[in-house]
Amino acid sequence: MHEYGIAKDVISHVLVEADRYKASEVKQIKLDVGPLAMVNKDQLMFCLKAVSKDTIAEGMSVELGSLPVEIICPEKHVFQIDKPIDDVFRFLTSLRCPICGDKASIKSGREIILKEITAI
Amino acid sequence: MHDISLNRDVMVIHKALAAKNRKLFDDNKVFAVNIMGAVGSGKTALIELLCDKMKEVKIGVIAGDVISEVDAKRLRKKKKPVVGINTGKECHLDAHLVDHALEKLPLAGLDFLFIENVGNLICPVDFELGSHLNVVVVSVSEGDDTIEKHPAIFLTADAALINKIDIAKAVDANVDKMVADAKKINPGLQVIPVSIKKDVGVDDFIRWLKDARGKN
Ligand SMILES: Nc1nc2c(ncn2[C@@H]2O[C@H](COP(=O)(O)OP(=O)(O)OP(=O)(O)O)[C@@H](O)[C@H]2O)c(=O)[nH]1
Ligand SMILES: [Mg+2]
Ligand SMILES: [Zn+2]
Repeated sequence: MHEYGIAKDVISHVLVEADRYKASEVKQIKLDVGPLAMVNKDQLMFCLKAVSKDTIAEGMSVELGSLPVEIICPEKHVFQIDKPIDDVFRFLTSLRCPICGDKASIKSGREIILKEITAI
Repeated sequence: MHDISLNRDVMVIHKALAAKNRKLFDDNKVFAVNIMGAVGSGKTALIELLCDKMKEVKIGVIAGDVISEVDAKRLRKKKKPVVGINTGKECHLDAHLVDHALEKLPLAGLDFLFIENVGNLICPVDFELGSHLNVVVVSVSEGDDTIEKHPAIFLTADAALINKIDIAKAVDANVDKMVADAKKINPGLQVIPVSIKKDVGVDDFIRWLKDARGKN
């Protein structure tokens, strides 16, 4: 379960930042998870809760957002896939540049971005 | 009230460490190969056989395991430098763990470093180690739909070994279907059906490995 490791990374970033602002309580974080990060959102939420226990982030609310998936071809055409990726397999097999038809690879969509922290 | 706007990719630390590992490999002219795959697919058996067959090169091994030292012990019998790493709660190796293993493994003089990842088809995908190549070992006994069920790892891999073809008939697995599935996901993937136990197809893999090292 790699959600545990990701949650640990997220919480350590949150605590370092909160400390920098001398905050006493973290109220909320906004976290964007790329659809290709292969993260199970329920498991991630569970792990965030577990890892933040007994820290100033315990009990914070977590707003999970998504990120666009972009592909890039050898000609450097960048193209955004805005279809919901419910069937990753079908999506992966059609990784062709819509402009030149060349085989494209993933440019972004695997990131996990800590967008914002609200603390007091 | 503090609204702290960050927009920070929390995975960047892993990427930076992976780059550091890669530089260390390159500085020492060591070609590093990350070997991934499900539990029991044949990762350790592959490295054992490579140690036996690639006599003309110097090999080092990092053996990842959740809690035990079983694989590291098996591989030490090959009289090569072997460092075991335990991942504990984590189900994959990451660049940080490899970084620590490298503190205990002198790279100077090695030609190849084989890194056995923890048995898992899902998690290692997101964690670059800094290796030059990523190889997945799948076996026919996982079922011949295992590749189409876990496409992500094949998309990021350089080669896929479809292992245990000696028992394909017995487990009713269609090897051709598995090759086709892998190629469909990633047309650039080197797909090699093998039997590590019977030493079938492994020479093709070794040839490809050496070729890839030459091109690096
Ligand atoms: N029939 C057959 N069995 C094989 C073959 N390759 C490996 N095995 C057997 O599969 C079992 C698992 O092999 P390992 O090399 O330990 O697998 P692994 O991927 O390292 O397993 P973990 O480290 O536990 O994830 C062993 O009993 C091997 O003897 C093969 O080509 N054919
Ligand atoms: Mg093993
Ligand atoms: Zn294009």
